[in-house]
Amino acid sequence: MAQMQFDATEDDIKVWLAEADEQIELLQNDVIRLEKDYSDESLVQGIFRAAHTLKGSSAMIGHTRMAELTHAMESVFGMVREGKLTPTTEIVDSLLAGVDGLNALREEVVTKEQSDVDLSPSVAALRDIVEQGGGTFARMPGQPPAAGGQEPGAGGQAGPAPTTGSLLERFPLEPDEIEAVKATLESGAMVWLLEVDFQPDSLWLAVRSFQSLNDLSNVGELLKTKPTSEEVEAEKVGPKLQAVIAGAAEAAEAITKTAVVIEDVVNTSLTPYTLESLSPSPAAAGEGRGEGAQGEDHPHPSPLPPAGEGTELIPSQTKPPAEAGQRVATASRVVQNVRVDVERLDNLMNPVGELVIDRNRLQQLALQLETELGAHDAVDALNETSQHVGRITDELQEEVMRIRMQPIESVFNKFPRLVRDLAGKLGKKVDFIIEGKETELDRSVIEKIDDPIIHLLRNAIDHGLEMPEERRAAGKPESGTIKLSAWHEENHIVIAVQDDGRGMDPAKLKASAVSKKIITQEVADRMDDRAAVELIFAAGFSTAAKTTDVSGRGVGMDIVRANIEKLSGFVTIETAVGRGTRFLVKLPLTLAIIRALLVALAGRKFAIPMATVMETLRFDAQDVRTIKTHEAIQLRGRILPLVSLRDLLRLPALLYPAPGEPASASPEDEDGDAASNGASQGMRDVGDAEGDSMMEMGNRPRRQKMFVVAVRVGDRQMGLQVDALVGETEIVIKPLSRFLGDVRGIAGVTILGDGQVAIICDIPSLINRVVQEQLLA
Amino acid sequence: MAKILVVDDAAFMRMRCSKLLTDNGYDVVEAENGLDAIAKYKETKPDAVLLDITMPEMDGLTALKEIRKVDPEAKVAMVTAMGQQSMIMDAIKSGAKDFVVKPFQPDRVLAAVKKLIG
Repeated sequence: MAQMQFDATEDDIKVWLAEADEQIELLQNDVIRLEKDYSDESLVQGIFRAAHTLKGSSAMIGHTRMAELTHAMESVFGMVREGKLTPTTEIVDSLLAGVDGLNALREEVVTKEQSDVDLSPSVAALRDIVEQGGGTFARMPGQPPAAGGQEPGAGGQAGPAPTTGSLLERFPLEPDEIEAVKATLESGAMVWLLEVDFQPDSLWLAVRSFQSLNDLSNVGELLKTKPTSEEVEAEKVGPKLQAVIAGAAEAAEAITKTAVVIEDVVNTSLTPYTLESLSPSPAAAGEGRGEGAQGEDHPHPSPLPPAGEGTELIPSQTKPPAEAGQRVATASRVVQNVRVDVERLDNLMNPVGELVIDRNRLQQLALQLETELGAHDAVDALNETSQHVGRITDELQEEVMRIRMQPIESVFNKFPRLVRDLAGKLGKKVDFIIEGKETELDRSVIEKIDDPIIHLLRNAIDHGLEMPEERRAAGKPESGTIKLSAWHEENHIVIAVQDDGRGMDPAKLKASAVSKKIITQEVADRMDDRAAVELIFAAGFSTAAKTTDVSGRGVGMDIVRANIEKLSGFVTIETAVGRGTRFLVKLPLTLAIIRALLVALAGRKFAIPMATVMETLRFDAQDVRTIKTHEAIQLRGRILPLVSLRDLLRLPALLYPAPGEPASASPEDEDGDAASNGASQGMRDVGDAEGDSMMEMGNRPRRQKMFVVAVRVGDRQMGLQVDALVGETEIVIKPLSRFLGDVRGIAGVTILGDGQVAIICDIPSLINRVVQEQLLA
Repeated sequence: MAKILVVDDAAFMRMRCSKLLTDNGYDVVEAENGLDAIAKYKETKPDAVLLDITMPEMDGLTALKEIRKVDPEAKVAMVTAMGQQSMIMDAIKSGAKDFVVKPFQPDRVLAAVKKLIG
């Protein structure tokens, strides 16, 4: 691998990367939209600018191949912008290939190693597009010369030597012009012929000529010029500029100096006219030469080396679109953006989390003190302070959360390209719609959500959508529609992947599961349609005879669901045969801090995320029904299956007591424990001393009180029996240490206000476990 | 210490230009768009301005005119990439004294700045 060197320090490169990544991301997201939205001016302008800026900065650090590629892309975008080119599928394909190339080139800046990627076909393709559209592909200026600079050689590339020929031969004048010059000379002023030679391959001849004429008119009077100012402004120029200029004798020096300091000038000469040289019959060649020799000749090398500008072609479309110049910002306030390292955002979250725990602690201590000391000034003061701390912490927490929230757009933007490529490979026609990309969610969730969504999308395209012929035969439009949408629901974000394809057939799924030995025929017969559809989440299930390489490296829907549950979310399916399927993924807005219901179990406290809690219940053991070996109760006309949470978590009757706690079988009245200002919403009987720890299910005295938390995931509901209900509070989710890894059923742990550790239940996976067990029973 | 106002919406360009100038003994003020440039010009009264010609919202030409309104003697050189000759000519007509090409060569920038300040 060839090593690369860039004209930038490591710090420079950090800044470069931050900016380059912005441009590349924009190109990745927006280029694909060109096919449909090419008349959207701001879209095209944005794309053009991104390529333009990237071209500039890559040239700045000496990344020639990147500068070349972005230059080629910019040329195409420029033509689209001017309406000279309409982006066809092929053109967009070439541009997308270019964008892919940019990613590889960007990597090179990071690794300092040249990659094998060969960009010349891409660049050539783009160049062809430009030329076919009637444009001229201007070559990039060559690399700037190395620090030493490159003198073009004193008087090197000069045009024809200015001293040959008489003045009138070098610059023919009309009779009336000659008269004008004579008249000026007679009035006592001087008139010179100024000849300026520019670097012939300079790409800036028009402007330099313009500059020259402009500046010269300040030090003398221009009687005639070639090219004329009109020609200069129309960019009809060459490497030579001639001007008949009048002024006082002293002006000569100023004139020469003015001409010489213009960049790109390689040669100037200033020759005075005399009345003799203007006589009607041109003087003999010798005389002319003599004249010339007396003139002030400054075969100067320019004071500065001209840009090592490479070759030839002057760009033909140099007129910028009219609209670019006219838009003036109407806002009088400049919006400042700050770039923050994402790691810093993460680091912000930790102290805030700790503060929340401490706030809870403070509140609890205040309460405790009040109980013990009764009314007391210090207690009042502590209360007030702890409440204030509570408010500030809330505010801080909210702000930090808000800073961490990002629109899901950054995830969604990858998908149009993916869908397009995948559909193309599989021969399917897809209309891809995205809705709600401004929906925000926490950064930590954003990073992990794209994998599951990609799988769902792949699934929809590969298995969901039919081939165009099949769709036509079914009376559907040839193009299948896939809709990816996101929206907020309470404290959650919901992401839906919907297709109008063939839908899922419960009967077929059952048959497939039976043949794969995932379930027995008897179980299949018992199964309702909804359960049948969820079979796709069973491990080892896949209806495709072989997994196509596009549909994932053998990753099944079970992994998809597991990943979603790892994010404390869950996924549900709605489907109709022949009509389509919709996957709904529900995720908490943030993984860091949640409201939870605390319950007592086996002598310890456990937390159940409030998001899953429907209500808490307390009833007598006699109300429990038994339906086909499973326990349930009737709740407002519905059947709520009952499960012992202790059994579900496979806990012994009593866990090892926390330090400092008496080893008692039944949980003490644990009133006030972390019950913060938010206690008791929908909660009954806080801290009831009667618990159910030692009694086996189904073996209870009839009047035994039972405490149940009714939870819901999707449309599955369940009652989780616990020993006691403690209270509702806000908790900071801490992950299980990496030594423990993933423990199914447990979403993490938290530290309560009293310093105890509580385990957070992963309700979706627990419910799944119940469903599986009951199914296979 | 001569003060130069560097205006460019591309952070990397701005940074490189500033570094080059400060390494060579100039004071540098940065602005990232036209509005900011006008505000900074009023605030810091630089001796010269390097003004990028293609910026979003308010482009360089408009910014140039606004700066010249604030200070008719303002010494401004436009910074431009390839292919913008007529824009430069317009800029010169509106009072720009010179122009510098991107990607810039250090000695050219320094020469242009020296020339601007005079």
